[in-house]
Amino acid sequence: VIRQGKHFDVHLAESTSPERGKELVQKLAKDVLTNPVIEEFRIVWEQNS
Amino acid sequence: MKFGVVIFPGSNCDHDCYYSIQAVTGKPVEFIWHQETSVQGFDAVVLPGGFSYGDYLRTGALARFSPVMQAVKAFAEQGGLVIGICNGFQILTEAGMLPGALMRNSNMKYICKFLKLRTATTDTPFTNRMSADQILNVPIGHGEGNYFADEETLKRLEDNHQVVFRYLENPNGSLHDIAGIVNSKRNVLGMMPHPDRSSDPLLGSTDGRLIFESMVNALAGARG
Repeated sequence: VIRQGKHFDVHLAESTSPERGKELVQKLAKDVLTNPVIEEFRIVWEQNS
Repeated sequence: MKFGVVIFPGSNCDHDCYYSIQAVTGKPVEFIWHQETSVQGFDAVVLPGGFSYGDYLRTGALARFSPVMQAVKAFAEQGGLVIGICNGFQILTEAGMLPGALMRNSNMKYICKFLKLRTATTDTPFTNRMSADQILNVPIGHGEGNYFADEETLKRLEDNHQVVFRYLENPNGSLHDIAGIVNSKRNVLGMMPHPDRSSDPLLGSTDGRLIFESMVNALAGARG
C-alpha cells in the first residue's frame, strides 16, 4: 500500500509546556492544516534531547 | 444596487468579474481589498477565481482568514447575495459557508475548456432568468474542482434542490456531476465554471450573463 500525504514539522519554543504544546498543535492541525471533510491527521510528538 | 469584487492576494479573475458585471448589468462595481473589515453598502459580493495565497496548503484554505471574510459571512447571514467562482467556491467551502470540499481533478490535471452545464434549479437568486434544465456553455479552468461531500450531505443537497449546476460531461470526478451549489438559505452560490469568462461574445459565449442578470433581477425584486 502506498499512501500520499503532507508532513508538517512544527517546532515549539522551549518555554512551551508539553500540555500547552499538544493543545496548540492539535488546534493547528484541526483548524488550519487539514480539511476534515477530505483529510485526517495524526500527530507524532518528539522531544528534543 | 452595487456589486463588490473581493481581491485576495493571488486573485486573478477579479478584473474579469469587474468587467463582466459592469458590462452586463450596467450597475456600479467596486473592488474590495481583502483587508477590509466591512462590506457595508454592497448588495452582492463576488469572490473571484485565482490562487488566493498561492493555494499552497489547500485551495482557498488561507483566504478564509482574511479580515474581509468575517464581514462576508455576516453579510451572507443577513441574506446578502454572495457568489464564489472557481477559487471563490473553494474559499466558500473552506470557510464553512458551503458544505463539501473541492479535491484534485480525478485525472490529476489542470483542465481549461468550455463545457456544457445543465441548470438544475431556477429557484435561486442566481438562476431565476434561466428556464428549467437550460443548457449553458461556460468554461472551466481548474485543477481542484472535484466536488466531494459525504452521503448525508449529498442527500441533503439533493433533497433541498441545492445543486444549481451539473456537468453534462463530468470533467473532474465531481460527485453527482456537481458544478455549483447554493447554501440552504439559497443566497450563497459556489460554482467552478466561470460566468465571468462567458459574458462577452468575443470570448465565445454569453451564457454566463444569465447569472449576473438573475442577481440583478433578484435584487430589484428584493427592493420592491
